[in-house]
Amino acid sequence: MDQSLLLVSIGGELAGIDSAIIRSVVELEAITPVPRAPDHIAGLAALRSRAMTVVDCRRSLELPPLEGAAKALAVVVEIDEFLYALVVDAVEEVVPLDGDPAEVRADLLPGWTRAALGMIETSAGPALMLDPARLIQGPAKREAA
Amino acid sequence: MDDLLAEFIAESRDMLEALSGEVVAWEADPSDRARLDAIFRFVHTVKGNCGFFEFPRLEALSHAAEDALADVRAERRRADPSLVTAVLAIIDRIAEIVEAIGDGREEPATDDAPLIAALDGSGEEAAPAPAAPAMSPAQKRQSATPRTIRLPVELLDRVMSGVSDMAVARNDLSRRLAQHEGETGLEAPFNRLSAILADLREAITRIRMQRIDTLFSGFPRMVRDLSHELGKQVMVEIESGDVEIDREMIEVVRDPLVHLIRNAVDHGIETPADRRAAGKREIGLLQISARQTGSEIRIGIVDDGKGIDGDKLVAKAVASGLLSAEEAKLLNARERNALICEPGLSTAKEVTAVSGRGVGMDVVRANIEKIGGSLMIDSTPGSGTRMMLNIPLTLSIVPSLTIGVGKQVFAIPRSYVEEIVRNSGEEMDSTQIGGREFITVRGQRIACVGLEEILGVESTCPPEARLYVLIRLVGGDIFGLAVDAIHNHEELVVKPIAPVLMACGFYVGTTQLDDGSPVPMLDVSGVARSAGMIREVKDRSLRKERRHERPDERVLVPALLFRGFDGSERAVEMDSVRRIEKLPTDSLRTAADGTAQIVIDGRIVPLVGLAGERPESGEINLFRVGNDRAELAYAYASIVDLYEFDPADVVTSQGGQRLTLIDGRPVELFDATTLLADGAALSGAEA
Repeated sequence: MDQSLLLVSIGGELAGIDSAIIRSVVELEAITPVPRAPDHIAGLAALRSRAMTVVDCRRSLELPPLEGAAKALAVVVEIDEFLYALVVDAVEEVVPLDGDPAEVRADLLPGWTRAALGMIETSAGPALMLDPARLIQGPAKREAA
Repeated sequence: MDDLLAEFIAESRDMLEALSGEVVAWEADPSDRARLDAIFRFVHTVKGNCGFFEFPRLEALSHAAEDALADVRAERRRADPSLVTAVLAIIDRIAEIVEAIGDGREEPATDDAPLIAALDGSGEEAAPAPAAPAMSPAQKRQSATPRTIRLPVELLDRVMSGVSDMAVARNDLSRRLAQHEGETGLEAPFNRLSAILADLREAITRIRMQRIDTLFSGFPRMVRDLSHELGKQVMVEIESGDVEIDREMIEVVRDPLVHLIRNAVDHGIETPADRRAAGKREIGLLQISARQTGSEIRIGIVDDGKGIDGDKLVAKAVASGLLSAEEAKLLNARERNALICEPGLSTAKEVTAVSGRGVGMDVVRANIEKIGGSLMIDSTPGSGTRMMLNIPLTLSIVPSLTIGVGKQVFAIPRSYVEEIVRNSGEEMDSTQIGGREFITVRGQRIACVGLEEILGVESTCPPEARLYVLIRLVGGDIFGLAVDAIHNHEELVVKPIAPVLMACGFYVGTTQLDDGSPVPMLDVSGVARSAGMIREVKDRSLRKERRHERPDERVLVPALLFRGFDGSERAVEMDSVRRIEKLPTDSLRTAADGTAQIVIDGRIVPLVGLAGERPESGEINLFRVGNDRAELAYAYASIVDLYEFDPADVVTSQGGQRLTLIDGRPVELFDATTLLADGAALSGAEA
């Protein structure tokens, strides 16, 4: 019952991220690009004195890029002592999470299939619950370095 | 009184540790006054301290050593090997007793008289001991170690990250202050705050670190004792690269390192007779070096001994059922060498007391892997072994160079940087060979690669304004990294980089500049590897050996080794080559008699080297020799490598060809004169 979920929108769809690993929601000021990094890694940014790896969720989900966004809005998560900034289109609300995500009974787009833990019903409607680790990992096919 | 005693013990231990390298260095050069003084100071301090405590044995030992050393200082006596050995024995005995006192045990029941007598072993009349110059209390204070306390590492981490956050906040404040018009009255306090913070940062970042010399200082002594025991001669070269290492890490890596060094001396380096028979110097060379990168410290142990017999290892592994014969075939050289770390496998013929057989390397590897490190072994049978120990660093301050290419900034650890040269034409000179840029700095030809090429970014700088960072890899190889700009030298706090970025192979960590912007730290060996700059251990050791043999009289001449169209390898002196280039085959003309010409810059130049072939492809590789009046082009199929040869080794064959040895094979060597003479003969034939 203590668990809650942060709802974000990516590519016009509602998705949820377990709030337990979320450290912050920030507007990214400047992103330092990292050459030769996988496509979905936008680069590095700083959160106070710590560096964050910026993950472009749209690219990671193999969706078309967002047009006309002024500043990147990111959900900061911490995994294995590393900070990652997951760039999303918008942050919606925090909702309580009860029950485990249900299996999705249909074929989704490949990007979503890979990153989703399952479907959940929330007060704001159905959403896919995302696994940040898989978002960070990105599409399996890597650009040849 | 207990406090005083504890301080005496701690001080003695510290001095003992610092001393062990000094003694060996003193033995190598007994005229080294500074070393002699350091040892003298130690025994003198021990003797002085014994006055406060009841340690008659320590007092007698230190007194005797002090007397003998005072004679040497006063030049009444020479520091011969027997004296050095006797002094060493006394220092060891003092160490034993100090340890026993420190642990609250009984002093070891050994007789000190023979040790003291050994000091006079040279047969000289013992001169009356002069009163030793008394040390002032201030001098004594200096050598005492400061008091210490223990702290949990997590607490330090928290303090450290707090200070980092504070620095970022300070910078933010500074930006906001700058936006204000006119005086705010805050400037002075702000500057004071900045200064305090800078001090604090400096102190905090040093807390966990210790110079790696503390770890290395004991090794020369260890190698000396070991090689004496084994009847070998070993020269130790230590290069600590100003690396600082986490205090905790020092303790963890000490045992594995000791083991690797013992192995190198025991199993790697041969006896003087064997070495002579193999055509090497009698004195073996053992190099211990350290480099620091973002999240790793790399410690290299390189010997020029007999190497590891990979075939024998594989055969043993197969015989013991560790591998099937099919699996064994699939192993590469490094994997074969890694078999030495398998329990129960060793190629040593005899079991020795020093490093045993097959016991240990598996433990060494296990211990290194436990802390997230790795061990790589490269070996060339007959010429040496290179063991590379990579150990991680959870937290480190790396003296770094920030470099730029295009708009991007990267950091590289300064320990890799040998020198920075500007493409100015006077200091250096640049040529293209086989599509690769080479620069010549003070006669040394160095392969270069542009950082933009490696990272796939745009360079915004004209080629003539670029800077070349000469990078020395752990193994000793040098290559040049071309960059657009060098921003700063700074001490950076490097943190590990996320695994997803680590996987690219080009980065080892991230760091932040003063304005808080993150900067990736480059993995220098990753960059070198991707550019094909890491050479085999073999080439290097051969070159090294040569340099050591006759350091003064040999001037090596660089030569380009290439494969001709007839399939054989030839070499040409680099200095004779005016230019290396690719030209379209359209500009080529071959005559019926086999001679050929090519049009270069609107002139017809005789072309040799085709061996009757007319290359199919659209372009032909050639190099040009000579001057504007007499020029010759030489066509080749491919470039094999750059080599250095010794002019003294060149022989002239019966047929008038000059031959030099490259990798043990005789190779025909050209210079401009011989080539032009040949070319003239050919042109004459045509006319």
